[in-house]
Amino acid sequence: MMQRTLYTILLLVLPLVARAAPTAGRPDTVSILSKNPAFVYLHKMENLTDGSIRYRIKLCLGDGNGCDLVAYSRDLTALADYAYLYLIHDKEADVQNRPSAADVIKEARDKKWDQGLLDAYAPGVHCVRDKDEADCVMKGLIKSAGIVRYWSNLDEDQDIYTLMTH
Amino acid sequence: MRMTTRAWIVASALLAASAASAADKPDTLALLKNYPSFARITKETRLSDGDVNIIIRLCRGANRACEMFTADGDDIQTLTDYVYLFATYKGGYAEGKPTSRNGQALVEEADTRGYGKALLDFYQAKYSCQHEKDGVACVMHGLWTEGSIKRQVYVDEGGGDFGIVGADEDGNTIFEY
Repeated sequence: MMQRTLYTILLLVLPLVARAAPTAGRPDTVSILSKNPAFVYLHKMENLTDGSIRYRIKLCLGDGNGCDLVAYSRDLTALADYAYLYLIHDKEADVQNRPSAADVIKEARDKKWDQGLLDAYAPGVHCVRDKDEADCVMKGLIKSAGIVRYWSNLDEDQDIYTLMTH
Repeated sequence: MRMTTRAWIVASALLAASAASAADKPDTLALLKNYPSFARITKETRLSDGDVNIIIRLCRGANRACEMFTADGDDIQTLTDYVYLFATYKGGYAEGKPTSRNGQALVEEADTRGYGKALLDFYQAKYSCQHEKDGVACVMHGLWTEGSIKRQVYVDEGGGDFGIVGADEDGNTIFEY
């Protein structure tokens, strides 16, 4: 009798658990992006006067004369997640010169990691059922993680940026 | 008792010598850190390989105009010494309206406490600049070369836009944005 009751409960509960669970896992974007130094530049920026720390990420997909993304935040995970989503959703068509970037995008699509990331963030930034969920989450991340973006018009070594207005 | 006195005299002499040595070469990182609204020092570490880069910005006018000096690697001492001499002798930071942002206090401290001269004396000997007409320029060139220092100048043009140029050692534009 006891066993039958437990079995019944399991039968009722398991489908609910399965439905609630995300369809894809959440990737470790810091690790993924750090393993691609050919086009990702991820830096810790420590202010030696007051000890404060910010992080900067650059995605440089072209042949020079600028990077596609330059962004700062105090939240390393959110910054890397933003850059990862930006690469997959905004730059998929611009990776001809960067096979390693194309590989990152393919892996994300194959393993549904980008969707896992969107699922993780969407409720917190009020983007559930949004028509363009990726765009909504990325804008939400900018606000919630205090991400500041810059234009970059010179190559990596010259390090020239101007602040983007949103 | 006599031995104790002698030991005290020896210890005092050693301490005095140590203090004199420290006075010969001021701790420019600590001195720059005392003026955070004027000098901003940032250590950049690349997370993929741990590569380190140091950046020092000297700003005036509410950060609207800054000189930016960088050095590859973590030889922060050569860079801070160079920047301290630049701030003291070459930047003109004590000119104009006296505010903490234009570095006037740092320049005055370098003068009244002799930090600028002590630094120059130290490096004039190192770089054989004693007989040069412009000893400051000679020393700064030595530090510039030794530290592989790079220089940029940027001006906040408002609305989030910055005008930025890469400059050579003398401040001449070598590329413009």
